[in-house]
Amino acid sequence: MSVDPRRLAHAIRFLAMDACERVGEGHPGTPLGAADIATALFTRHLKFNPADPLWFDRDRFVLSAGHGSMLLYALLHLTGYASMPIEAIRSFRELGSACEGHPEYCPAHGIEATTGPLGQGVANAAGMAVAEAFLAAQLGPGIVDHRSYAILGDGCLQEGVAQEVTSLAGHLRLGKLCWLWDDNHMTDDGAIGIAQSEDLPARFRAAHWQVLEVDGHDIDAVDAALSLARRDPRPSLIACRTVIGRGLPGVEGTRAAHSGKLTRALTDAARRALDWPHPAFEIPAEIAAAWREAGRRSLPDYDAWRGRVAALPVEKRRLLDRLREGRLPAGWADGLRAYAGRAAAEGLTQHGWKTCGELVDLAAAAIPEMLAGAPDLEAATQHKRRLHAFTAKDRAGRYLHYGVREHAMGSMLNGIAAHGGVVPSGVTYLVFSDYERPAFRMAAMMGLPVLFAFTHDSIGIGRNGPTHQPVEYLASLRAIPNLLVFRPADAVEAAECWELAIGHRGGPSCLIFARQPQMAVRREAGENRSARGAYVIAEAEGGPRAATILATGTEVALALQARALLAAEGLSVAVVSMPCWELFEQQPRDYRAAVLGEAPRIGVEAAVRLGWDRWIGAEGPFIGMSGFGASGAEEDLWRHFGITAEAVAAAVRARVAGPA
Amino acid sequence: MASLAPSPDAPNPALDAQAAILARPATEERRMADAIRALAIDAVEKAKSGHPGMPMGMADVATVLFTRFLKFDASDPRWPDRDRFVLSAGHGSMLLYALLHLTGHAGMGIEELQRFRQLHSPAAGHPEYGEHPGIETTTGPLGQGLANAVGMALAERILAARFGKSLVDHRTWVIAGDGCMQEGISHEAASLAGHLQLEKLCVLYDDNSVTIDGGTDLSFTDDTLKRFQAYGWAVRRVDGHDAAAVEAALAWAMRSRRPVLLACRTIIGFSAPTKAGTAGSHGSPLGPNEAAAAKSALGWNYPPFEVPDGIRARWEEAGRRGAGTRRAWLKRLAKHPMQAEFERAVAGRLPEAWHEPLAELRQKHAVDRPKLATRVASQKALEALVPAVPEMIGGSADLTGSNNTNVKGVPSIARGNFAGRYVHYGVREHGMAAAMNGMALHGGIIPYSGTFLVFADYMRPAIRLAALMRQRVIHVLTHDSIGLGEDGPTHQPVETLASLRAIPNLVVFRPGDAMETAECWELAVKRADGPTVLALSRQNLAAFRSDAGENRCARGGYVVEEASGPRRATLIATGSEVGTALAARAALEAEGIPVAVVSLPSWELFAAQDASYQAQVLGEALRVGIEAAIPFGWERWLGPEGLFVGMHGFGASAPAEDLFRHFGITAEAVANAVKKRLG
Repeated sequence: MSVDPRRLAHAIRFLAMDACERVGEGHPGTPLGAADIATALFTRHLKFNPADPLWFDRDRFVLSAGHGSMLLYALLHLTGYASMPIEAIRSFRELGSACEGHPEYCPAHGIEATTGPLGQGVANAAGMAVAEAFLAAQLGPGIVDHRSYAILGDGCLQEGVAQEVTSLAGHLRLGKLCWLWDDNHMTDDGAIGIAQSEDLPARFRAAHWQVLEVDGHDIDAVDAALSLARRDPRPSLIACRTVIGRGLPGVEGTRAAHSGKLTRALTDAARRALDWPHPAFEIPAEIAAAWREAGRRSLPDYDAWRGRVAALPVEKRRLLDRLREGRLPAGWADGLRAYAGRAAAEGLTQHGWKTCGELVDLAAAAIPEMLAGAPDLEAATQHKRRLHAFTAKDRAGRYLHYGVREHAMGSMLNGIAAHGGVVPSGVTYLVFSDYERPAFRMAAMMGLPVLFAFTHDSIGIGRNGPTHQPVEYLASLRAIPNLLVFRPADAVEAAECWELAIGHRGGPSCLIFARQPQMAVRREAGENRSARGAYVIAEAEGGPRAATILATGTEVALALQARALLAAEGLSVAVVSMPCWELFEQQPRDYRAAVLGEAPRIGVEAAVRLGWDRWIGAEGPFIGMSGFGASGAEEDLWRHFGITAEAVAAAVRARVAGPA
Repeated sequence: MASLAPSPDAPNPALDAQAAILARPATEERRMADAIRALAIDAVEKAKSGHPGMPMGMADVATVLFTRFLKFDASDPRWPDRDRFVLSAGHGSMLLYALLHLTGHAGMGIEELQRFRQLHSPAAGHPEYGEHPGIETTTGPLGQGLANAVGMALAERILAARFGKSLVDHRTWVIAGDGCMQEGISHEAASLAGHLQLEKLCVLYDDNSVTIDGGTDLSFTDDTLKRFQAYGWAVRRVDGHDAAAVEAALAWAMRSRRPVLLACRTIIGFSAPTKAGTAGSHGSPLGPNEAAAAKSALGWNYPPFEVPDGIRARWEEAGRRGAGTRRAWLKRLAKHPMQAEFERAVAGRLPEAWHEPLAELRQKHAVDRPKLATRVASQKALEALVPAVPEMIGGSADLTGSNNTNVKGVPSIARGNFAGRYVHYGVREHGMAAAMNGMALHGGIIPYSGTFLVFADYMRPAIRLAALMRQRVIHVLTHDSIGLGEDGPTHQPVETLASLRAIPNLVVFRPGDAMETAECWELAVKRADGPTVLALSRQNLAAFRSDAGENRCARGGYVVEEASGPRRATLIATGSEVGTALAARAALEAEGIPVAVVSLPSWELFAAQDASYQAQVLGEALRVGIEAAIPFGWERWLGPEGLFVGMHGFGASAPAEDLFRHFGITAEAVANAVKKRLG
């Protein structure tokens, strides 16, 4: 390459500076500080093709320090992504711009993950490395052989999720994972020493990583480290010592460089200091050409790969196409439907976790790209069954032991899904979903089809007590936009909900099960009734509805018992099962009205009331929890908290007797 | 529940090690530890549920700690200068209950142990703060206890700096397991503890190589000692079944100038003839045969729940070990010039005139009607509060400049200097919130700290525990909506308010101007029995209040502007949208439509008002909710016919004004919606 590589890095710097200056906002510190690192990666190592951003065997690059978004936008622009013209850069942080404040997932435009909340991106990258290893085992290294890179800052490394991932990635020997640490000794509050004094390389070595320490402004040194990373079987951390805001005279190396306002005077001074006489948003032709050339660097690999794909046996070719398009195999739901049929015929009553485990087992048998796992709760959730472990030695394994690392699991599942070609699922106790919650939000925002399963969903867990008894979780999950929350009543609904969740390719799902037995409430299967979100499971008999009881999960059985009690007294009551509020909201108004009915409504759910007023009205009686749970035998807890068929029946009676 | 019984064919190397340990002569200390084991076995068997493995494995270590090192007096478990003991591996709760019982704590008699895991027993499944005064914190969700302990150790340093070593000089001890070490929160907490050199913190790591799934080699092969060394901790490995070695290690820990991690090699389920050293002993009863065999392997030939008098006497002696030290401390306190202040702070009572500067600020706001972002108004409130309430300790997770949590002239806390009152927690939201819980639990401190509202998700497990434990912890969560603008959807909360309102016993405030912010701060500081969130704006908000008498936010919701005639609609808003509602009201009134505006800064407080007040505020007319967040939960206030103006999905990246327009959260949109509905 004839152009001085430092000039290539300067092109990133000035695009970032000009964009930040123009909008009067943004974070110039990272793009300026990490420009040399990114130049080494993108011009000498990263395997990618801007003309085909979705090339399945491309390297994945995640900007975990998402606030430095202009670094990524500049790289995409310079290397020739059609979706990132200079106009996009000019409209940085404006409504409708492709250059949003933080990178928003759009692989077709070269953005592999939404980042911003710190630590998420590095975890996503680790998930991508898992997906790569898993698919390479299925499709062979001729088809899948790529690396996952992340650029991250101190903030990412301070977050707990990053340590969870560090520990797990080292354990799994994800050798194709490489983190480039923008080690600039500066945080938002000031010099790193204000809050941190650890020996970070030592910590990574303790987790079995290769650690390389280089001058992050020496492109050749970064290049050499990247080469070493490729040759080592361990994941690599390249600690790149940098100066934040490099190139801004008087500001570089200071706290102000992180997200301080850039003035024209400052960018002018930078132009002089770096000998960059070009106008704003203009890149000299030879530098632009060199960057375009870098964008074409992987074309021989690309063509060779296409050749190998073309030569694949037809079956394998079909499999590859199916996986990269994210299509499920033909007949994938047959097993689940058969299960629903059997469960309905038998009146299957069994522990919720067991049903969930059986369904995952069936789904995994039908979907070879399904990768299950749990954070150290295999015994309690029984989701491994016929699957064997994905390990450092066995990449064909389809069950990942995440260890007690819920947050890492959630964020890695997102990375696995973002990579594509794999159907990821993970299970833990519902109460620990709070540990992974930041990942749900990201999955919802990115529209990733991740399957988050949970067991032990209420005080029904009994003696482990309030720390382990969710009460506010259903509400807090339902609050997340673009997330489907399923709480099936029995094994039939469970199979229906799993089918809906797996089939939902535009966003994540939560599937929630009890620890205790879930009584059979559905004795017919066929039509997937859960698909409408809520339905009348038992219509009022012997007269018009005197009341409608709405319930979810294990409380549907309770509602049916209450209905029977009331029927004996001559009161005609309907019961509605509501396994998925979000799907119900999408139904036509008439359907919703018919299901909810005109009669007084009573809600039953072993959880807090928040959100229920939508269905039962502010005056409607609600049988559920009004605070945290307690430690005791399950039967005692139901009685103690007044969540019994008798209590439901009493509430109906009182409501029907007079206005609330 | 399913358990992983050891496969009969699999070799179990722990059994050989166990046999060697059991072959050693049984010292008195071993017998004392066996009392813990036997009680744990019996209680779990009787309850038919529980986790016997950890208490059986760590009994020897705990015995050395409680009989020789831990400073406590069983006759006064709330003695302020006691050492704090945190069982971070909370599933091993029987270890703690057995220790409290054996050392003679009132309220943890043998009947309580016999009722382990029964409703209303203080011996709950996991240790619950408040169930017994000897329980320092609620544990169970892994990693939380360890992070609480970091907060307790920090609180000790802060109070020692304030009141002197003669009143405050104690240690914080933690028992943590592999699960705690794997959780990310342990990283955040340990990194912070190392940074601050909290030398009186000692973590006894139950290094038993077994997790629920099986051997730790399934998922956890880090070198934990090296990792903690990298954090700046002193580390050592010790045989957890060798009392003399443990004693020597603890003595070494007492001399350390850095926080200490002692990795105690133990056998989980020690003494169980087949399940020892396996996941099978972790979380389910041993079963009658295995339980009997375990006890006989120990030579423990007593009926269930029986402890021979000699051993009991030795334990009770240990429970009285600190009595003299406590009496001497009481004497020092009685003569101490700061006695009253110390007692006040530790009891959680606020200073006499604490609210006066805040009252002055409110007067000033009433006159000046400043247009401020509520995060800046919060800083003004803090400028009034922090000097007046010396136990308030602030901080931020690396967003000090954005959260406005600092007060000019208040020094930061740093290694070796704990006289400061501000903690730079680093980008460690979860560790921060859990450490704040520990500080509040320790007593003598009211912790408040900040981050962006959207990162509440990162802290959520700790917020939940603060609510469960009813601790006064105050979270300043700024940048509370799309009003933060360009940073985009990752930083724009839309569901976060709803998700926080779902947590029982958490009070969520979203004040709408500087006056309301001051009022909400007053309520937060006064709230002694639970945590508070203040959701604050990034953007400037016009003042709408010019009355400073009554704290109107105390009722959670109130009429800001009554309608000029019979109400045709009531606009109900929180935070930045109160201004939007008022502008909409002006437009509607100009068209002759009488409309009232209600500010609803706290749903929880409003829900606690009597029905007639609620009815009077909400009115009979059309109700319109306005909040730059999703409508989840709003039906409660709006009724079935109500309108809602807010968000229906995630945000976007653009200047704030563009976003409010784009998402239709404007006075104009509100006025139009009202007109359309009214026809």
